[in-house]
Amino acid sequence: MTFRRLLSVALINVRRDRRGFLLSSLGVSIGVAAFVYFMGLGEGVARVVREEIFPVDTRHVKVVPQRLSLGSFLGGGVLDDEAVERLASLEGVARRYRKVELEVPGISQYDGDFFGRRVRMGVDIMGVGVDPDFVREDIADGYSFEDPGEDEWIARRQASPPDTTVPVVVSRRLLEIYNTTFAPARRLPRIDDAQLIGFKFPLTLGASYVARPGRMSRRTVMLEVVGVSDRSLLLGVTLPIETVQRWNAMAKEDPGEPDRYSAVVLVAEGQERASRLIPEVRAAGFEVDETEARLAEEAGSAVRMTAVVLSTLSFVILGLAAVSIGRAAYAHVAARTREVGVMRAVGARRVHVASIVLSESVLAGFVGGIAGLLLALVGAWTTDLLVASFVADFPFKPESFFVFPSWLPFAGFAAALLAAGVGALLPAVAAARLDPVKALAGGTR
Amino acid sequence: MIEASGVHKSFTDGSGMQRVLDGLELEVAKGEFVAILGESGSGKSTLLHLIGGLDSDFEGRIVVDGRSLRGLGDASLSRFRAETIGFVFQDFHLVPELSALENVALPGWFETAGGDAASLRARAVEILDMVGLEGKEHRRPDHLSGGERQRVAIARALFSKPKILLCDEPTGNLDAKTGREIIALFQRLGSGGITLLMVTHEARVAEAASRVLRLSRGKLHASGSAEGEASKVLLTDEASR
Repeated sequence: MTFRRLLSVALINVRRDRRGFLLSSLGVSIGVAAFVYFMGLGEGVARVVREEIFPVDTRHVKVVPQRLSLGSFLGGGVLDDEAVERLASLEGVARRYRKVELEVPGISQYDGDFFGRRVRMGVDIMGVGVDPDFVREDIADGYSFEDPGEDEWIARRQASPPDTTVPVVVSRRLLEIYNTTFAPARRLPRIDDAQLIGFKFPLTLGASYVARPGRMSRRTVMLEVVGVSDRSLLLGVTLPIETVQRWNAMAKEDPGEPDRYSAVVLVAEGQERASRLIPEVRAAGFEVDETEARLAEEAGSAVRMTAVVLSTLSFVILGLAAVSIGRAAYAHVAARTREVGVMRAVGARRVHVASIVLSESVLAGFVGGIAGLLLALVGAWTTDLLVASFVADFPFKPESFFVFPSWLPFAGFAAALLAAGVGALLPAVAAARLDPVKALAGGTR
Repeated sequence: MIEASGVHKSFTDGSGMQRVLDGLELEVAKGEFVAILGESGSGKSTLLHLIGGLDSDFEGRIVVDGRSLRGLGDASLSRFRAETIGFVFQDFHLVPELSALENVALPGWFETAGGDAASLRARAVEILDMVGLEGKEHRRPDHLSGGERQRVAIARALFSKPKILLCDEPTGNLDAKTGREIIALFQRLGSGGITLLMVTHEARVAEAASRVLRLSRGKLHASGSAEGEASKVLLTDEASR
């Protein structure tokens, strides 16, 4: 019996009991829809966590000095130029980016126009200096993220004081938090990335609202936003590393003291290589800061676990659909006992009879699977629409809460066919085992 | 074409073991039209089921078209039924939701080397024409008369070009005129070379066969003439009513 003929027989039988077929398909479609919907939701929320809340590049290994260090006795602990080059020379390291924390306290006192609103505020500013290439991709066209050097900077300032600015990059996550919580609460305008580029605000070094100002004499510079980046410091500004080094040097008792770095980001040639780098870095006497990666992993896992639990519900629905299909198939077999006898009389083998019963149910699974996928997509679209229309903005609110990986529709579809097939298995075997003589008489064995 | 020797068949029911066939002997030549007369419960249908390979649980020896049926597995018996046997039942056993054409083409579903759907339909139309149902291919059984339904059943039995047609009370649910038409159709098929074995309790139906046997107490008895045996059965039938 060819597949094509089996299909045509199944279609004939479907035509004979359209209502039963639709009910069976409906049960499967609800189960598949629930499975695909919840898995898609889990993947979507996990994506937001992974890419927007805790954007972690899995090839990056962030190396920091040991908290408890015996210094150079054991060859580690201090992240100076020599240590950075040693780490960069490890096998599989493609690039390295240095980071220096701004040790000089600084405040920003702003009094002026803020995107159409007058604003007065004062806030302590934290900063970190990074190698410009670290945020190069996020620098806006026509802007530069380079430190001109102290002499050049002084020369520029003397020539054109208002236009002399220090480039900074701000965090995209900070902007998101501002737009969704701070701005609505303070009735301030929302700002997008493009608007923020070119925004200037003052930074007074050597001053602080919360800490002792330190040794450095006060100096005010204008900062200019030249980019918005996921790699930027969350609560503060990211500056060119040379700028921070210059400012830190001004506050040092010994200006000739060699530069030390607060962190160095090693970029591995691949994710697998990055995993292998971690023990090598530790062996070299440094720590690996996995805080963000761990947070991202834990949050992503929690979201996925929730999705899996919800998907379990869909398997319960699919199980019930399978039971329903099984009952329907038993009823069909009981109603068509004589027909089974006739089929056996005209030459049908047991496997033919079983195949016919199974094919009808699998066809219900096929239709239910497709309907379920469509239902899940419509459900996802409706959810996104309702959330966009009726739920107030919150940080990292995505345009869509759903991500449907390519394997998901296939998995949903396979689950539909499996549920239908398993449900109809016992009735199919029972039909195949009918005694042809008794079946012709309308009875069963 | 059909050889049965020493065939025993028993059933167990509430009153214990019932021996239905008890050392039955039968020989039917190729192209012969044989009628078996017998009372209800005499084992006529059981004999047809055994010869047709629907029931392989028996003692003795049955050889049909050179093939011994004892000990054959499900696949072999199914192939045997598909290739060699055509069944015609008293109750027609048509699938009510299918058209006459689809009912006739039913055996084609299970053919290993069957043609495509179009060729199956063409074959079914040809056979329906042959049994006198041209123009009624798309009618469902409930839109056909009893005689027409039995013609559809006969057409279905002929679909796979069987060598042997086994007919179980084929006129039992038909009026006399329609019954005669069906028997005439059988005679026509018999003259075409097909072997016919028909069981019936109606003597007048059995008259159409070239040979009539009587099944009684689990054995077949050759009758001197079909007419004489038929009269006995009729008398028995009438007396039992």
